[in-house]
Amino acid sequence: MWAMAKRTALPMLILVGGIASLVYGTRFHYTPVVQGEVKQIVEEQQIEETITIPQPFEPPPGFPPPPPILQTIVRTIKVPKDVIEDVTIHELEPTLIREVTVGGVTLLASGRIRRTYGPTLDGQGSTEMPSLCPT
Amino acid sequence: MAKSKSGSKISSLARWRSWVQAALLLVWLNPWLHLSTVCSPVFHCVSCPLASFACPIGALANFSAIHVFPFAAVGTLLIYGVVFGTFICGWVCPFGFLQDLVARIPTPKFELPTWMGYLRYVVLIVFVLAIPFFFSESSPLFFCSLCPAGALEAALPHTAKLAIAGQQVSWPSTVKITILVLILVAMLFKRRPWCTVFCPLGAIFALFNRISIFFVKFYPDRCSDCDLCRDKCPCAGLSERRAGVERCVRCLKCAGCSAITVEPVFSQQDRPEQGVR
Repeated sequence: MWAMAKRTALPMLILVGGIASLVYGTRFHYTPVVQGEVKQIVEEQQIEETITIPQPFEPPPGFPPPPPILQTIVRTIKVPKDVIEDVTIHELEPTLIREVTVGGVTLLASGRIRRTYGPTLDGQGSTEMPSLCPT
Repeated sequence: MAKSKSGSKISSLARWRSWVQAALLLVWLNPWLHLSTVCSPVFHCVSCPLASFACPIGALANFSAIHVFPFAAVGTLLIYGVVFGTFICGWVCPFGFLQDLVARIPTPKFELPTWMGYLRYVVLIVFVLAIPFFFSESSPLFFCSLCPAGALEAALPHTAKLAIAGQQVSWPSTVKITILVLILVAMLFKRRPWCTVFCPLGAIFALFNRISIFFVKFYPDRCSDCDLCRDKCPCAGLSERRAGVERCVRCLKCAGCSAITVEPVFSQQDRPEQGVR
């Protein structure tokens, strides 16, 4: 009995370790990944506008009307604008397995992990996750 | 060769091995089973158009490149390794099955020195773990850039698909294709050349052969030195006649006599000596 316990101890220990590692990886192991997201911001813009100022008095009868008085003014308006902003999401390991094996994420020099795909303002580049391994 | 009841049972089971390998292809090559978030225990590229699971070696290499520990992939390998050891290589792996099929072509077969089996650990440590960790996945020596299974199962089918569709063909890397051709040629002259010399997954599973729950047991006292097990072994795994030897893929071709059996770890008998007879 003791001999069997000794024989089974190591395999059982490794088996339990494997199950614990698998459960931790699939349920609790999140990795921060930076991805670009389109956000709409409201930007203030100054625009120049030319307005016509009314004459302070009416010309006497029989006289031609005086030329209009034009004045340029600067006005501040609010304009909505699309920008790409870095957002950090926390990916569970199974999702990361799918992304990393097809080159969907890469390690930056800063040590952060970034998605290689995502939205772009000029419409260039891929917004979809790659379907094939880059190699 | 001293026949026993359990020995004949195991040898009759071994005759079904090719059918088991073929049936399991339906699991690994199933386009309707999209489980690329899960690592399989076999060497099979996730970019294969029919792949159902992620490759554990691809996951290890890519996680090494992004400096994240792959708990799920390691857990999968520990579980399968400690339960089955290299039974996975001999009975389950599709790339092993391909090598078994090519080996049926009647060409002269050669054996390589036993020490070459340790090259698998060099491949595992250098190309799967170290190079991705220090030089990122863009390195030309990154394991997936060299992998013959990836070339055969993913690169060539996709190149053919693009060519048939009349789209611009992106050719796979020359190095990768050259390695694939060399391995295919080697399969004609050496049984399971990839498994016994290079496979990093086989290297991991081989570590468990001595302690796995199901293990191949060799009883020196029952051996009559008929050498039939050595003749039948496709990997020269039992050339040293040691139970749980690392090169063994547990095909069970040798297990026709009472000296070699498969037993679970819960068996009441003690494990025999690992010594050479």
